[in-house]
Amino acid sequence: VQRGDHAAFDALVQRHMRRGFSIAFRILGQREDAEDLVQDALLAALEAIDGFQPGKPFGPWFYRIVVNRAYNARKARARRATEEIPAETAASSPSPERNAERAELRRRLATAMESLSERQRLIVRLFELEGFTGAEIADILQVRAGTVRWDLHRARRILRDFLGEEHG
Amino acid sequence: MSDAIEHDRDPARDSVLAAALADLDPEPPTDAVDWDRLERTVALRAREHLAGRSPGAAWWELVAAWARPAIPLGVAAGIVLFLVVLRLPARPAEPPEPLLLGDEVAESVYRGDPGLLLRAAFTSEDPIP
Repeated sequence: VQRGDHAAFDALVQRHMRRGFSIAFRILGQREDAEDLVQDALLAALEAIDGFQPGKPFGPWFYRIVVNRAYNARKARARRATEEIPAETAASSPSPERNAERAELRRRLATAMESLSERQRLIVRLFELEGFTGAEIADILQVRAGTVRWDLHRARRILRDFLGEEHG
Repeated sequence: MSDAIEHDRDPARDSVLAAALADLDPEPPTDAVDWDRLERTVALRAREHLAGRSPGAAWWELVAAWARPAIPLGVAAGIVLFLVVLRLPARPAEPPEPLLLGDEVAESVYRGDPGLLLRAAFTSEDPIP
């Protein structure tokens, strides 16, 4: 790619665009925004490819670009409007009671998530939902793996307290 | 589930927490994305940039390209040279010892009669009596 190889770049796009999209969506919460962002991030990665060290894995380096751009995009969006938080997806619960219970659970989990730092929220999502390892998340966020595990530990304790309270 | 932190390895994934988070966060709608279109768009936008990255080979690229076959060839040539050197005599050949002629033969040569010398040369007869 550094020498202008189209096929090599296409291979990188194919391999990383889906996961890049998922990360962007986790941060932005909107499909169109996440699509645009992953496109821009791929081109930004191409423009910055000289700064990439060939011996290292491309994924974390690229996902870091996605995360940084997604945070910036979200900040810009928050400045433009006070909208946000995608509408709760319609739950197909069998009964109104169950529906109400789930809605309450979501509301309280959302509150618990809000009490976390932005980095902790992202770490929990990347670890629990996207299946990244602590080391991969550390690479993406450019922090130490121990810091990721510590943040994950604290975030999970807060969220588990909430879940324990809810279900215990 | 253990609540202790292990600094040197990841904790196990928490399926209860993951399920609750998945319920809170809508799953990324990967099925709704037209990946082919996205890929084409990216490729199209990247084309110009990639074209600008391959302006022909610079001298160091030529050197790098030649270095790949040149290195094993050089090694092979070195091995051949080594074997050739190994087969050469260890010391330069010493000059043959001077032929010592017997007095009788020497005198016959001085007399202008090489018969004895020739006979010695073409037979196993030792010219040195």
